[in-house]
Amino acid sequence: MMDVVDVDVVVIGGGVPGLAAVQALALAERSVLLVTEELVLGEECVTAEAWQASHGAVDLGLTYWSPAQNYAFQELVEKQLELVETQLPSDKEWVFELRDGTLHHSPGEKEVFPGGELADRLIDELDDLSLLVGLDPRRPHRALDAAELDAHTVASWVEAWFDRQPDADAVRRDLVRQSLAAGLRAVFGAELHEIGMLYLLHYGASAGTFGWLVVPVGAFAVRFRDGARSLVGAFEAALGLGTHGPPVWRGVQVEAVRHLSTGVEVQVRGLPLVRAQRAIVAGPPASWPDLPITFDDPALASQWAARLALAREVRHGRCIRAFVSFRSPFWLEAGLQATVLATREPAAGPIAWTLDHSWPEGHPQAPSHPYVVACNLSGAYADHWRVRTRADRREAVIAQLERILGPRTRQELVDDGLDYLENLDQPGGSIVGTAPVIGAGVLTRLGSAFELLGDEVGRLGVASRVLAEQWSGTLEGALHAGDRAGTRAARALDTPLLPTPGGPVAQAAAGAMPLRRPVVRCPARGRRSRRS
Amino acid sequence: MGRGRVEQVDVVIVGGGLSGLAAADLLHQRSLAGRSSASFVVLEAGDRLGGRVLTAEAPGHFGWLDMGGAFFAVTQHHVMRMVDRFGLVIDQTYLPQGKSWRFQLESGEVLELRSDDPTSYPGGLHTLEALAVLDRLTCHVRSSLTEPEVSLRAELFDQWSVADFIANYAMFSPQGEPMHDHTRQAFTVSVRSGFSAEPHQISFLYLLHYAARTGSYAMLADILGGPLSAEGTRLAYGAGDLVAALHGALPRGAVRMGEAVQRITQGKEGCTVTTRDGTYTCGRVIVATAPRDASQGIVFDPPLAATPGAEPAGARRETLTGAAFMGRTIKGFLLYRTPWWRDVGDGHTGNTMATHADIDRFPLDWALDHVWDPPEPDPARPVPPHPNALMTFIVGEAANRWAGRSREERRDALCRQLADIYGTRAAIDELLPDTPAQPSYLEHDFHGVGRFGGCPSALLPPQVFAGVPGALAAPVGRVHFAGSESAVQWAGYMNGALQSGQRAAAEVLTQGVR
Repeated sequence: MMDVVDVDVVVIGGGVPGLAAVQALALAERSVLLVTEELVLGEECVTAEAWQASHGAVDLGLTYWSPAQNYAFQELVEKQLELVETQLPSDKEWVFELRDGTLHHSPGEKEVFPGGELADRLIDELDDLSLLVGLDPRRPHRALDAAELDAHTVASWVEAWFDRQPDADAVRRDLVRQSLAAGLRAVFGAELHEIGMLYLLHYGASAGTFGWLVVPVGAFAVRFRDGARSLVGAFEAALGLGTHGPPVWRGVQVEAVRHLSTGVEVQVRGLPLVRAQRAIVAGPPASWPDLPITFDDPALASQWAARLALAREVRHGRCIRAFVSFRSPFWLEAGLQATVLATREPAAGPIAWTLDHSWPEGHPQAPSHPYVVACNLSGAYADHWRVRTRADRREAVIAQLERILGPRTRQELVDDGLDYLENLDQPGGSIVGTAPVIGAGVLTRLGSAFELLGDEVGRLGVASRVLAEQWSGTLEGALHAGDRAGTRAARALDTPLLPTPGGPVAQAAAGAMPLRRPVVRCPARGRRSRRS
Repeated sequence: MGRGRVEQVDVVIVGGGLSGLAAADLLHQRSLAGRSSASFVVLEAGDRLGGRVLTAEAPGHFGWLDMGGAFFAVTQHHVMRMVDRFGLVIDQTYLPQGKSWRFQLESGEVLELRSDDPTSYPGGLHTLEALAVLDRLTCHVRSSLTEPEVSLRAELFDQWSVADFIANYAMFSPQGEPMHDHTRQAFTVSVRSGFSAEPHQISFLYLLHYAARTGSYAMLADILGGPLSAEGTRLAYGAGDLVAALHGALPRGAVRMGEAVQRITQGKEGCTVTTRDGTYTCGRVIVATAPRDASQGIVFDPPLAATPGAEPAGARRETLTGAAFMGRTIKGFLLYRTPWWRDVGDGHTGNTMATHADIDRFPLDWALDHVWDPPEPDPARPVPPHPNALMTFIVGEAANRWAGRSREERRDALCRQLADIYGTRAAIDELLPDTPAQPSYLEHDFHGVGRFGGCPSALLPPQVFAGVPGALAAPVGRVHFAGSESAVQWAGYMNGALQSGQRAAAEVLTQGVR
């Protein structure tokens, strides 16, 4: 007799969406088995072990989030994690290093991009369009002007927009192009010609507006103090994964998934057959085509094929994240934040954007090396610099910081050999931490698959941060997508109506951390609110 | 049938509140951009625009007091975009760190709480755990934002009123115990101040849905969230500034005042909208009012439930509007010589919550500092001579009872209760002279004024919501529905009004106006 494991739901994929789906099912008091080909759970979350002792947690994968994100905040509260705010003092300036090497300074409390009034107007236009596309959050492909927008990449759309602006001379166009390219590299790790215009607007709408995406006080405002891995660890502990809670099969190979009219069977190499009422495929769409799944019903098979067609269109941004460690936050004395956008030719400067990754001054748990600048070699910069040596990248990053933050950059480097860390030090490191990217024409062509992306194919649900209705592409989107898939599966199982007294929902809230959201400034919005 | 002129337009917008104006604005902006050419009129039954936004003046004291919608969070993107677009002046709610706030319990006992101590709530950690429970349940509803009725345990939560959730809280309590008494009182006050109704009146699923569309219950209820909280920001010159700006951006003649719609007739080819004085033929209609208010005085012909080809949306819409009721609030402003509360003890924010059991003597639910102090005022406009306002709310059952008394009785009761809570006669003595020409207590109750059922928004009792999926926003044939309650984000707030109006206008353009 073949061994059989019976569960209500099997979740395939142990990344953040998978963990969130398992949690939703556990809270609904359903039995669930988590199956993952990876050895670790939450593979998008990579906290550098090499720097843990000296610098505290430094994240090479998913890092930043916003206190306006409610799923992440709920995890923080329930799991009693701590956060650290990105150091963005409003009385210091941030710097844009233009292609020609000119340094453009902007006051810290405002977002003044190179290109002046024309750049402002472009942000307004993108905000308006993202609000328009977001009016029906699940159907961007049916928004007003969707076909026209989707015919463009961001690059081609902005050129057409320039042509409609009377003041868009060649100089201003060039500056605004650099502003937009730098902003979107920070979000996507991709170039303007790679990103579909309608996709960009949907992505912005899912975060609220375009402005909230690109401005540090929006999507980059906070991170987990003990790193993104602390979130994964807290999931494992809170759910008792693999111990007293749902079982986990890690590092296994899924050989077959059979969707039957009566349930879903999952065959894992060398392990008992899993018989579940429902299944959830969690994780990046790029992995879905490899899933060996069969359907008993041809109609369902064709629905799945439509989702795969969409999945094949999802690309990933590229980002080499490099951390540089200093003895002091010397930039503050120069009246600067360590926030930089840069658009040098890649060979002339590897940095696309930076943020101050330091611990807040006087933090009681601050490590011995609290002053760090996170430098990101994104999009074309990652492509150019990936093939160079680590030593080359280190030297080029430090040389560029020196030009921007001043000559003290080199003097203030820590001198114990722990002054530079990059995610290429970690296998697979350049993939994690960047956003999914979809090109022009895809959403309107495959719109119906997109509309249904969060819905089930028969007994099969999907959970991916790609195209999440809320904060698409981000940690928040991953938590949202997982919670959505899990709650929908639980509901489809005819969940018993009454929760068990003192059961999982109650236990999740036990000792919920007393914590207020950090005060946030409004990014982009309100820039001109006092203009009469 | 109406008499007089017959006018033909593409779209008739019923209601000149923020939602109707936002719908009109989107249609007009699309025309200006050469992207569509839909003609439209806005029909407003009353003699003013703004609907549940009403900015009043206290002559000689303070020019801009919002008797209706007032506050927004910096994450209310549709409002913030309008603030930018029209250059409106904003003011932040006074919430300095290191100050105290007060909570009056049912017994009359007063708790002093610290605004910078995160455990400083009535009920302390018990209340924080209850908030975590509520927000986890809110997460599950938000997971299916556009389909709250398919969220986890939706049927159970819709069978329950909010009071039933409180009664069954032991199920969710980490200790398996009933809700801590102070937590119960704090939650009750937050429900009253958020919805202007009593916990036993409101479906628990509807409350979760409302919180989901806000973001979280904590953001809805916890003023201490600062700019992210729903009460963090207001317009220094009143929310009427936004109404005036939207109106000013519309073409002349697009808004018709005193046009009370009596009948909306739908045919295959189009619609006819009849008012007392005229008839409009059009391709589509946008009804931009609260669900309950739309059903007052407007006859749908055929009835929504019998609209051909609109099953089941029409029947669901009828069920929804038949069951919806409005919260009730008597919102007031006490105008003082000094912001005396800021100097009580080590300093207070003025944020005051109360749930005194004897509501016939102590009607206050919530009070908040409303001192006018924008960081960058408009130099072209006067500074209020007496900017030291304290905003007060009498809501729910207390509003029903106190509506029958005189303005002076309400004023005196509020002042006495505040004096009680803060232990100082300043709450009585510092009030400016209250005269008919220059009142120092202004108040408004939307209930029963014109077609208004109340304020701030429409609510559902138990056992309706889960049975009418999509009914808040789904069009019925050629009739589309806006109004804040139908919004995907911030339903019930000004942002929801803007979002839903824009959504309905986009819907009309997408589906074709003919």
